[in-house]
Amino acid sequence: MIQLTDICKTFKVAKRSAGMGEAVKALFKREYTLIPALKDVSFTIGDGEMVGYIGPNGAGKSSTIKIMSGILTPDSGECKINGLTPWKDRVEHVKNIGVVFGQRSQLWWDVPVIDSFELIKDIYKVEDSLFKRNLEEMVTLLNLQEIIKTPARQLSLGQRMRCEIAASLLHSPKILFLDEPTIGLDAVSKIAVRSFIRDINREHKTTVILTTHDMQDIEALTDRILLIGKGHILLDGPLQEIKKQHSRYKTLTVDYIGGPVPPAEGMRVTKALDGQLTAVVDTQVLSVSAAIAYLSERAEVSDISVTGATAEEMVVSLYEEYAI
Amino acid sequence: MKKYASFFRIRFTTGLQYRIAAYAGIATQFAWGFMEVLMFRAFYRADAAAFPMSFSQLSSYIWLQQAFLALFMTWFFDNDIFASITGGNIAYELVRPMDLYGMWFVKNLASRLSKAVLRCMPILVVAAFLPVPYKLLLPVSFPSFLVFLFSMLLGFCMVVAFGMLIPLCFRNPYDRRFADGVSFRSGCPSAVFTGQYPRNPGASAVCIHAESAVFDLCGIYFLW
Repeated sequence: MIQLTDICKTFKVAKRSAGMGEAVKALFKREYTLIPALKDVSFTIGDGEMVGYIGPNGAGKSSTIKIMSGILTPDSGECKINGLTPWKDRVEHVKNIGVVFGQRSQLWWDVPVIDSFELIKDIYKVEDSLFKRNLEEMVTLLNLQEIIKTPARQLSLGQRMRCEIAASLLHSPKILFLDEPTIGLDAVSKIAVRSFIRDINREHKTTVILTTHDMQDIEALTDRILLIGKGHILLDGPLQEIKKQHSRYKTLTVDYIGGPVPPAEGMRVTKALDGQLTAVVDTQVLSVSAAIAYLSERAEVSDISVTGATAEEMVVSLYEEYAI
Repeated sequence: MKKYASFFRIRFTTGLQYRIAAYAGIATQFAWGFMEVLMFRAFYRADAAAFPMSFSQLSSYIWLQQAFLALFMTWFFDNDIFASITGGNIAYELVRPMDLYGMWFVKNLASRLSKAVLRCMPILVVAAFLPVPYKLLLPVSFPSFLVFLFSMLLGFCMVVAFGMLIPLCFRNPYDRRFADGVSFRSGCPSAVFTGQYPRNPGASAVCIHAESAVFDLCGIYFLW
């Protein structure tokens, strides 16, 4: 159980204008601005949940993850994770969590991956039998047989990321924090990583908190999303529901034979070619079926396709809505 | 304790990989050692009575110093640790159920020891076969050898503990240059006080070192 209450965090950043004069001035008197990274962030995440934490760059996602994993201390607010305060009981707390920072590496650069795994085993005092079982599971699910004896520096990004994820799960953590785990990965690796995370969550009831910019990750993995912008939690709810709210508009592409068709009310033509029409339908005014019926009454339709809002479009419209 | 031992092992084996650096280190230490021995020879010729120990004892001291330099160089600090602070990988070190001080201490011990292990043998062997006044002498007795090892161990831990003060000088993660300044500047006076610079090598050398030490203290003063 993860419970955050009114977490605030402010960073102090040195600032000066461009130019030699300003540089000299800054030698004597430096000016700082306070950047509020998190403002009264509160949420609760239950055991075994899979939550997508989204927001634009600089919204405060990584700061929240770092607070929850005991790396950063917030200025004020409370955070209880399975009864522990991460930054106060750091050593006790981190025994139960696994963390993957997509942009960093926890593997030792010059030694074979398996050596790093062995070290992690000793650091977390993992029992031999459990370690063996976990390692076997990772090796099969993430397809690591070939690469486990290679030094980390010689792995491709996709291979390395699979090893990173395995490394953070060797001690069977109850909570897994993933900070952009699919960044820079190709389609195959992304799918492998996603299906693995899903399996882990299902089989071990591991709580997963995932930050990403890849909406397919969110769609494939999480049931619930938390939207953060400018340090505030803006939205917290099931993905499907949010998607429904933000998929008021559907795009209709119709191939037809016959003369031009005038649009109905609630239908906005975006592209009209000879024999093809693309229109956006406002489903609150005109339902999709009514729109199709309207079109097929007036022309001989040979092909038709309906596309709803993708998660990507949904997020863009959310960002616009909240002006973040 | 086991985790610290494993941590030590992995850092130590990583350090053992750098063979070319070790060759270069051996060459430098030989050149430096010969230079010092020859310099002292000149001083001893001028007035041997001004020194508290005999020339051949001093030669042994210099060779030991050169062989185990990696254990006692106060200006050296494990670069991995600096890199993890400035690069942000320290985030991963903080999500381990370990004390950060202990982890870094062990890391430093291991990286210094791996350097020393690679470098010491050739230097000790060659120094043992040099002609008489310049050669490395054997310890006077077995107990004194044990005491020597023990004092070396204590000195080693002391130097690492001293080095651990340097990351404290980071006022923020981007402060690499400031901490570098402190570590280099503090290197000179500490080298004088730990006896890595000749302790009584004649007035001129003392003057040069004293001057640079004062200069360094000023440096620390102004940097702060």
